[in-house]
Amino acid sequence: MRHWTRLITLLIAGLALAPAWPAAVGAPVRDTFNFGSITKVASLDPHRITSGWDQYLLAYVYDVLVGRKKGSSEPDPRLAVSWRVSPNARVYTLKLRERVKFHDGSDFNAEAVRYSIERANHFKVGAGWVLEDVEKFEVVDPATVRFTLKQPNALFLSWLDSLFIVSPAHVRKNERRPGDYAADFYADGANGTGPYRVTQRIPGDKVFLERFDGYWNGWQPKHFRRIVQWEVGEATTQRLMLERGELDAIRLFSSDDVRAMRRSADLVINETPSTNQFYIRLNMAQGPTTDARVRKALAYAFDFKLFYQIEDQFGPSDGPCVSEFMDGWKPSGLINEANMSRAQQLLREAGVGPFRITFLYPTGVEWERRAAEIWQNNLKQLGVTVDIRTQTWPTMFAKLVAWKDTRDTATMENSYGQLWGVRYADTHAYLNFMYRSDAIGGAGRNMMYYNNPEVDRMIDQATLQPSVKARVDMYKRACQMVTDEAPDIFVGRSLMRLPMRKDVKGFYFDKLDWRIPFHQMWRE
Amino acid sequence: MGLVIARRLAFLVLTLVGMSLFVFIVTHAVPQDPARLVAGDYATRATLEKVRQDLGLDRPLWEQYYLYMRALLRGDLGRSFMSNKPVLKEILTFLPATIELSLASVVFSLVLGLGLGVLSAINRGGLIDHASRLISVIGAAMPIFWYGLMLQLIFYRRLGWLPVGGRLGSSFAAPPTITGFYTIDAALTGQWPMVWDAVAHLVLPGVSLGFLTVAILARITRSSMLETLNQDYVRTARGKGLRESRVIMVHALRNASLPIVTVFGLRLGAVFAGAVLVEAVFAWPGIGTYAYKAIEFSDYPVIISFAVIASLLYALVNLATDLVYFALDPRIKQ
Repeated sequence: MRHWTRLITLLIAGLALAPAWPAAVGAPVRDTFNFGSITKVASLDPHRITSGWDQYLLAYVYDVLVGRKKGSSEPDPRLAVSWRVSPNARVYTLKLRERVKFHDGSDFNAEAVRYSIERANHFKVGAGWVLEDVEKFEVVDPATVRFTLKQPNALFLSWLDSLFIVSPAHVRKNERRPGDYAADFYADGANGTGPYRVTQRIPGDKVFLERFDGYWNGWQPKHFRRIVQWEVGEATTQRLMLERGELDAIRLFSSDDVRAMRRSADLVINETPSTNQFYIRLNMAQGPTTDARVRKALAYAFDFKLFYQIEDQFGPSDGPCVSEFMDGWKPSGLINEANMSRAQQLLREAGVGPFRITFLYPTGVEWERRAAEIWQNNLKQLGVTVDIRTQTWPTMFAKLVAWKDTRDTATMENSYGQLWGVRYADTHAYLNFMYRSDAIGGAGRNMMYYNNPEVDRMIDQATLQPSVKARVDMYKRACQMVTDEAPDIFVGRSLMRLPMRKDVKGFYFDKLDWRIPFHQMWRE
Repeated sequence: MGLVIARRLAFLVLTLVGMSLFVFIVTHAVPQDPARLVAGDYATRATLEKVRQDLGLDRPLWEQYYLYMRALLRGDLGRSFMSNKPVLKEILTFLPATIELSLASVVFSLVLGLGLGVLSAINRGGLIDHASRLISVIGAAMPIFWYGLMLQLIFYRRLGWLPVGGRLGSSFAAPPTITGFYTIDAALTGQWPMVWDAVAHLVLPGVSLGFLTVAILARITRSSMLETLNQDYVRTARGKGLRESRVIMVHALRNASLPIVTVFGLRLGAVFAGAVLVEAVFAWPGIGTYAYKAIEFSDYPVIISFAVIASLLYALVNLATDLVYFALDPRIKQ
């Protein structure tokens, strides 16, 4: 009996005390950069992806014709070395870079551009929107292409930053059926002209990138040879892996985690203001918020300072658009400080008594919930009750869009939280998407029905201006108009944050997006 | 017994049809627009309409359901809205990861749970008995994800003994797919360092997932064994001079096993449910995470297919449990 008891006890102890595995956990490999992403990669197809996060990864596998200079909206030559724009901004002629190879060894040329356009147009989703305005595309010669647009558009070059170029030979070789554009292959595989090539994708787990030695822009020997993007959905797990050294950088959104990580001697928190802004959008079509005085009162009731203290990833907003694209300009009369007496006065002028409003935020976005609670607390003093509700983003989105047709008071939402950043480096990306009247109902984020024909006219006129100065002047007038009408509470502008191991060098933020310049980084 | 199995399988088909219809109705009742998520933020209305047509979302609901079921009978589970890949192919990618994790937790929970329960019963009132009951209470009280985070903190962050995150470390690419189980596939291709790495990655999530089952099994084994150990046939076996190990394992445990098998069978279904949380905490690329993303994305083909397959697996596990009954107790067969 004792012998038997001893045996079972040993077995249980052996199992219960997990073996001291010589796993060498967390030992960094010198030429490999391990990056933790909270988001899951849906697909590697350059013409089907809709997520900005997937685009940032593929930006180092594929190239575009025209990019952006680091930290600026000025166009930068990539696969196109130079361009001519017609005076009416309708015709764009691009000279292509020569002696560029795809990862499979095939040549980049005008035919590759033509085919990429054909492929993107076939799927229509993702980056297909870039080509909506294109009336005609021509191959002038093997090293020259020409786009003729349906109407003048001075922003077209900046839009080309979203269109990745693929190899026609590689696509055709990997088709399962002629004409399917190798959709199945490209969901998990890739073949671009970028500095890295995809060696393996494990869905839901990792994407492995290896240096492409034939990259047209060359390499420095010390830069990372291998990139591994891990999909780690749990923020705490990401943080532990970073502290342990198994990950070199992570994308995090929790201020609490960042505060804890600042205390670590092995980590550095890279930070810069981003172009993402957080708005509380107010219903302009129905309910008490149709009155501008009520909207302004609600804005004055928001305790901005307290919010920035609690959520230190946010700082003061620039208003409807960010100042970087407007030569540092910000609109006057922007409400960015609480003023309860002013709020009270405005409500009295509007002649409204105590009332109730709803606020909707996407499930899981905790800082929006905290913002709502701060707002709710102050509004109580003014006799305004805020019902805070949450739904998953797809449900919330569909509900707000559907209301356009019903206008049913019973299902009306008075406000919702919106974080908005841009895909191309121009104020147009804010105004067109958030304030244009036909961006109502899903083709944009104007889901609280802001409608000002004069603003629409200025947005349209701005796209015709080849001169950046003339465009910016129009944007300033439009932004000032929007600010005066106060359709939103311009809560704050978020920081981009990237916690990183201290021994990783060469990182810089391009504050206009979240790309990590892997091929310019190294480990000391 | 053949008739019993045939009846169960027939009932299974009805269950699957009912489950698919129920999930179809619920997913379509929630106001979502998967076409918008597929098309992207910048898509025009014309593109959106085209995407709706391509996905079949412009058809009447009854027609969408009919087309789905017709394809299902041909073994075609449709294409994922998110990735545009065949759902069946994706499920076969993710499911082995969950099964491997679940099997690891089952092995852990069986050995530890049965062992603790038997030891507790044998040493009733002793130190092991008290320790086992304490473990059972803690195991049943604390949530799965809490175990996961605590194990990560202790065994990964502080001690550096075991890894977290995924099925393999970053120095290994995935092995060639033979079974989909990394431990087996790596062994079959002779990549022994990868085998150890895969096993190491299984330990913490497997323990997290199995701990609640350990708690329950230990308790039920203890009480069932205590009842059996007092039976006359056990006293007779001892009186005949049989070795104590034989008395415990052959005469007592076997006869105590019916309630244990019942509880364990029920727990297997719950293990799949718990896997979703453990997969999230440990970044384990299993079917739970896949299904969760599908729900978030309103990926209808994936959601319905997942519900059908999960129901099928659960029903098969129940059937297997009943077959084990027959094997353990011939009286039930009659």
